Amino acid sequence: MNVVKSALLDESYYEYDHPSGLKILVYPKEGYQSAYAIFGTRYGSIDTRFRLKGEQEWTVVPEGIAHFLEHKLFESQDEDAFARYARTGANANAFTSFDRTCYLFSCTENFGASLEILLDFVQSPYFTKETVDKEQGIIGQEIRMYDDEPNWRVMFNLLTALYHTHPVRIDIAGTVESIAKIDADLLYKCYHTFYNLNNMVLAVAGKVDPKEVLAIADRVLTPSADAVIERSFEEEPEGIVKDHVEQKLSVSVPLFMFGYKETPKAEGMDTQTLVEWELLLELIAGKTSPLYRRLLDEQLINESFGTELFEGRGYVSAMFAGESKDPEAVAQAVKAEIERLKKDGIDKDAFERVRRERYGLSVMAFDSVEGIANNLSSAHFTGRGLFDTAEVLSRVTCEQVQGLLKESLRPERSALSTILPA
Amino acid sequence: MPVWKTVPSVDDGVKLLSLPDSRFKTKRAAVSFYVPLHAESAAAMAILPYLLSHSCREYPNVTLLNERLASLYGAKLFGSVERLGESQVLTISVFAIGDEYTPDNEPLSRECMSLLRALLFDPVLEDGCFPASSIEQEKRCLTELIEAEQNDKRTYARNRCEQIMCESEGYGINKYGTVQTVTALSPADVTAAWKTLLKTARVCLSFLGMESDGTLEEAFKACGRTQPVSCQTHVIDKAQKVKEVTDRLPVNQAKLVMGFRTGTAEPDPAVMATRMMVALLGGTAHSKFFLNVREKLHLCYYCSARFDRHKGIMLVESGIEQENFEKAKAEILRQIEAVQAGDFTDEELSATVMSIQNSFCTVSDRVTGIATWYENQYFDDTLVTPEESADAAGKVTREEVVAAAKRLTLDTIYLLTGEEDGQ
Repeated sequence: MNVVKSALLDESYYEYDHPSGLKILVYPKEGYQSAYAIFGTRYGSIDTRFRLKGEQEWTVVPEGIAHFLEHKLFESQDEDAFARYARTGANANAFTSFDRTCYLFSCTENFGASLEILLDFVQSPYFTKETVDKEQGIIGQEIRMYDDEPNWRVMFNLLTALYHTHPVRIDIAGTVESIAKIDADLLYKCYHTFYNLNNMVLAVAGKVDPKEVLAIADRVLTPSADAVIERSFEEEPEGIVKDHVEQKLSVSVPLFMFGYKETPKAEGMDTQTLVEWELLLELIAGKTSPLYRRLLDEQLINESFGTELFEGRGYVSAMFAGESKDPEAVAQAVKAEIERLKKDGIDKDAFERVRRERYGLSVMAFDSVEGIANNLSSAHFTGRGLFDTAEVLSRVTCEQVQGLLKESLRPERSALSTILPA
Repeated sequence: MPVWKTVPSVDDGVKLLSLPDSRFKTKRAAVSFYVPLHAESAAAMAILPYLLSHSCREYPNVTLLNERLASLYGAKLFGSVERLGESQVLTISVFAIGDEYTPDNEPLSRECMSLLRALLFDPVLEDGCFPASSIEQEKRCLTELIEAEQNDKRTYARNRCEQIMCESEGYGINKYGTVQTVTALSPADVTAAWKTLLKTARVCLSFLGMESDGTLEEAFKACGRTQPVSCQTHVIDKAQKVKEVTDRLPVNQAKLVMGFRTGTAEPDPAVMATRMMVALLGGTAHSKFFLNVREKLHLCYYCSARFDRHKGIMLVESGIEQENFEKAKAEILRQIEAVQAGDFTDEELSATVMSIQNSFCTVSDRVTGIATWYENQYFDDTLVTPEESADAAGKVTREEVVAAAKRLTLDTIYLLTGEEDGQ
């Protein structure tokens, strides 16, 4: 068992390569009453075309199947996972994102029993025609619910404007039509490919004893054969699909998301680049920026305005989103401010302020057991160290951010998505 | 164990809450004001936490203030408006990392308390009045916030149900006011509301992980407080006749919200049994509603129940296909009848108890969670810890749960659905 420490933050956790193939990360927090565990696989909505190394044929699966699988895994031949958790008192849930699927629980009592349930049910798929058919109705309603959520729609519409082929452009839950094509065999195929322990991580934080976690893992985990998963994505062109996308929904204030498509690196984004991006977006449109003030004074934004760096396997975009009576004017103002900063350069004092600000936020991230366990699992999947953000923030320079700005945020690669009142 | 303290030489309307929790790297200081939720004053009061948290004389605009916060290592400042029973709760809170996590051990906590004092007591004034430009800005943002409530259909439907159910009660008043009342506000109205707030509101000064340096207490001492306002919540034990309202908007999924009177509210000791009964019905992924409306009949993705223990109201919510309205409503009522008839196993009850205990105790591990746990007990004389509540939950009997279910009366059935042409 390896101890990973940060002297700067006075924090540490344990890292363990379990013989079953699973990476186990345990982060005890002294004085906490609850524990939070997350068991995740590097498998999300974008993994629609794949094969195991050695297989001849690519498997192509319907959109939304990773999410469908997440729902179905809770069931088993005799008793579903929620019924088992009911006896431990744990609060359990799961989520599917673009590039991962995670199962989690939080508890204050009976940690061991709950962890055993978590590891066991995720390793015990049980799909039949009847149970698959039943879920179509429930997920159908989940999809319908998201169809009415403007904040969700504005983002997916933007992704369809930015991406030609990358499956990040499809809805995580798929469509009512695509999930109708899912059957038990396909679910098993996905399950056996991606729920290999070598492709997974277990992260636990809070009131937890690493020895207990390992003892349970030894007892419950069935070793996975080492397998290499190959995923295939069609070539994504550099340019965007279209620069505007608009939808009408029952909203009273228009919503917008304005985004820039960036070029991802094959090996993913390192912490240094991620930190530079976060500082850059804060400098362009954060609450201390001249642009934020101007947009507020011109009555173009309100407190819902914010920025986000959206990145994962094979995609990076920088996004500016909020509510506005005139989304077009906001997009133009963001564009103009970026060009101005490219020309005039970044103000040194402003840089120092946002660097300090981000440092404080990176420290605050170590208070919540939920946040820690989630960040630990992300750190494992992205290869970015959990403690690296604070370290990078203590040495990143204004010139580095300036360098990033120079080579990114090109106006011809931007698109505006709006949701207008129906 | 935390207790309420009063501030010497200030009236008993100002309470002090000190939570010396050393586990968190984030520290928090907050001032909450509790006033009755009235239609005439809601808008003027609601605008204050936003207005006051955007500038002060020392940092006279939002950019200067945000620059100051950034330089305090990302200190975060929030203005918020909440509802507690029929009280409007206006809070300004500030979060900062512990001094020891800054490179030079900077006194961030002290700076945060001094900033809170400046924001509340020393705002930008022109001829004794808030500047018209700031008021216009905040009026616009608050109006947009009210309008944006419609964007989230689940919240919107819940608000509408409460409005209809409590149309002649304080509870039915929007905590932000209405677009009309916000639009009508003048700088003089808001200035007057600010003075009323400081002098007469009930106040909670709350410190988590930092010790008060007395700055805020001194400011309240000096501000000329008068008799604190009385905050009462009117509880209606039983519904008279069922109100049914359907709204139509261009939506894909219909939202059903059913409002019940529960016949118990704080400080009635039977409240815990009602909490348990509501959770048994729709508070967990092994609840009656989840297992039947969702898992058995596949009518929805969510069907849940929530209880407002201060007002004595239970709301049941679900997102459904419009044509399944009768089916979903019937199944919800059938499950309530089942609990009223004692038709639930001991396992179901103990699972619900454990789940509630788990949610209580988890609160302690969250900075905002634990602070608001106590702040929401403002009107109670003694503070109850999450662990004590968990113990009390463990003592609820089957008979008490059945009795709580029997006290339920259906008040309002609200449906938000698509337009008639099937859009």
